[in-house]
Amino acid sequence: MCSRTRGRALDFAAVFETTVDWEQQLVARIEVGDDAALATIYDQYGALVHGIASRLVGTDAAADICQEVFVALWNQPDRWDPGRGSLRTFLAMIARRRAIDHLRSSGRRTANEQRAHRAAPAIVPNVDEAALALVAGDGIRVALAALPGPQRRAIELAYFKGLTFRQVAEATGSTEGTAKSRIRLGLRRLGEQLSITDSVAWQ
Amino acid sequence: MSAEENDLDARAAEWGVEPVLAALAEADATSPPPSIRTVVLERVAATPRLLAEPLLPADLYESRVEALRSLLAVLDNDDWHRQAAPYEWSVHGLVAHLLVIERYSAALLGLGEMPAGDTDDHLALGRDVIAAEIGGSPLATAQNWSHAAQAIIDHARSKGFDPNAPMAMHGWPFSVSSGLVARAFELWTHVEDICRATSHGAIPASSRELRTMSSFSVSSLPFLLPSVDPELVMAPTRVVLTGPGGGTFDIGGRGERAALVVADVVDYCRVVARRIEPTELSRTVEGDTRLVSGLLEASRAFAV
Repeated sequence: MCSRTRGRALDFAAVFETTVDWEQQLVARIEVGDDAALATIYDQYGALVHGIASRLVGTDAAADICQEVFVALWNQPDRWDPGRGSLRTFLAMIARRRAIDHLRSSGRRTANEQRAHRAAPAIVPNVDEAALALVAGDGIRVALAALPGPQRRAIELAYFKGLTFRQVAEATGSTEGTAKSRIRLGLRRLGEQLSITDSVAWQ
Repeated sequence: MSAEENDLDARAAEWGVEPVLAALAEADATSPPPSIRTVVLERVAATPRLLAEPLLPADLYESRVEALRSLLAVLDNDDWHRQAAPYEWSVHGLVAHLLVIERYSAALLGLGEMPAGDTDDHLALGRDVIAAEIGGSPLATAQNWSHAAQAIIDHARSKGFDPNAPMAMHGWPFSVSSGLVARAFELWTHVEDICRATSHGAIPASSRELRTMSSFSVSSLPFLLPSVDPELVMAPTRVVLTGPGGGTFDIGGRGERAALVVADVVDYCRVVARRIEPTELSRTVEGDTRLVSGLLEASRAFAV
């Protein structure tokens, strides 16, 4: 993905600005019934949504969640508030919530072992947006690895395994309050390191 | 959301870390099987968006008449004498022109006499009437216009009214329904003109009004295109008009889409009314740009 842009510097602020406009126009098109706009959004964010769901619930259930996320966007596009964050973030959070719901209702463990290897799409409609996301993703992985061990472990359990704070506490032998605090501090540090907190370059 | 309150996802927004979580997910991106895309688009196609319901042409016309009445009722003496660009007329003259056009429309419906003048020349029609009205009081002109418009509304509400009867306006082979929509479009345009001339706040059309006017315009584009450029061949085109009152229109038949154009519905209506040049319209175009330019030019054919 995004090999075209890897060899040149990205102007993060400019890409972010044009991405917001791009996302808003696509959603405005969905609001008046343009299914081609939904197809474009799917082509841009389908792999992200599918990847999130696959990690948590496996590829079979991920297919259903992927469908549900995009059909929900079609049915209720006004649930996305551009003032609160990008469409990418919105869809990612919806996918996680649906996957975690599925995980907990089925009583299963996470399905890491069932995940396909990373195989992001070769073509996306908005290459710069995808490149920005990739750079942010790569950067945050590096930052995650650099976190103090207890924080990193707590985040991995809560994020990648979908565990509750209580379950994280049990798994790490700490109190629930400590687990929660480690997760929050760790995530805030990741955000600060990448300048992707609330209102900076990447929302 | 059913995420439990004591988990990360329930707190992510409060903590402001949703973007961090989305970035963490990037490394997990995996192409979904192609069949999912197909299923998603099939499900979407099976649940069309509920959009503003178009008005009946007579209701649209009445609604626009009411909008202009309410505007004229608050104009002061200075307002009546301001120039109503893009015309040389004052606001008073513009309303006198509308009086002539209501009488012309009424005559086409079999109500009253046809105003004197070239009926194919929208602006020149009834010059004498306009001159006489300008010599009188603005309030009298407003009242005359209102009565003329009311006669059309009453006719459209009467028993035996035939919306499908022919109503050839300025040579355009309209039905009565189409003619009423065209008239409503003109009233919408002149309400905007008068608001602009007098610095009165805009009187926005409702989403149902915009939906009716824009649908009428877009559906006529394939028929109007040859008048712009006989060499242009109509091909399947999607017109997406965004905002309340907008919609998605597939025109030019079935088959592979040759072009897509996206624009704001109100701005599109201003192009139709010749208040914005097609080149000034903020739009997104994919595919055949020449065809789209031709369609936007064609959209202005009814405006005078």
